[in-house]
Amino acid sequence: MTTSHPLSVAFAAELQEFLNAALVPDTHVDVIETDDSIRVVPHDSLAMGKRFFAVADTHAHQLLRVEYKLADDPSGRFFRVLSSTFGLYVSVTKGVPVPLVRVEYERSQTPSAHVHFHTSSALLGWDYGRAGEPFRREQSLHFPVGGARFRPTIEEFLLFLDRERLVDTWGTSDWKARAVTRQADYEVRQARGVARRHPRTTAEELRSIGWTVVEPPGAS
Amino acid sequence: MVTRFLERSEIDQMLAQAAAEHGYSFDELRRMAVNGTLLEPDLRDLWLIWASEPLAFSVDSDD
Repeated sequence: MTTSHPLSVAFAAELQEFLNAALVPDTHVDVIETDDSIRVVPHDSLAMGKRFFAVADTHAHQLLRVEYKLADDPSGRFFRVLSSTFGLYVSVTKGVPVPLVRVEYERSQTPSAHVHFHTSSALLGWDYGRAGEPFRREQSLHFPVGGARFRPTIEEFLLFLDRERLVDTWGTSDWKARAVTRQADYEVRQARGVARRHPRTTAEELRSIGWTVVEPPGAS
Repeated sequence: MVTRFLERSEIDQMLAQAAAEHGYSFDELRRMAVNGTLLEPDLRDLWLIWASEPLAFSVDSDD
């Protein structure tokens, strides 16, 4: 199938390769293209209604949601994540999986990247009560994380699950090294985006450390 | 990696089916998503990825 979003599809292929290394073998994604964007979702999630990846064969109760909506920029030079969601779900009694923690990203929302902790906090309720506000569940709060440009990545999220021992069984032995490399690549991509968004500041900063930067004709 | 093309109408049908499984119509799901009252995580994720309109910042409405 030809695609209008080759860079986004390439991202999906690389994501699949990474998830294959980090999670159970044969982890596959599906790429669903629509008129204006693509979605990257777990394989067969449309047909089977199971929108999760298994984390490990021995941990059937733990499920991972990783879904993206992406589009190539019309210039064809880069792609954008329009929205994404990833989170750890737990199936306590082999019933409907319930979320433990989710990271939402919606480009046009404020805060665009935020975490929902699906826990309860009596202290939070008490504090709202003291302020004369109605009770709010912790899961309904949007904890901001990094903004659109430096939001958490799936690599950081998996490393978080590992570091905090929420997940202790992983795929290949080199998945963490791959995660660190992919995170570094992401930061370089984002740095390029920052430079495009703030060219004058970027030029000033480069000049301050000895670079010679010449403005192009017509720069405003 | 499987790739396929979906029409907008097929996506709306999928969203309507998911809404129905949670006891809502498609219009109710859309209204909650755009006015910030959609709290159910599964439907939030679904709307976030598949809908053509952004998911609004949500606030509790049932407290």
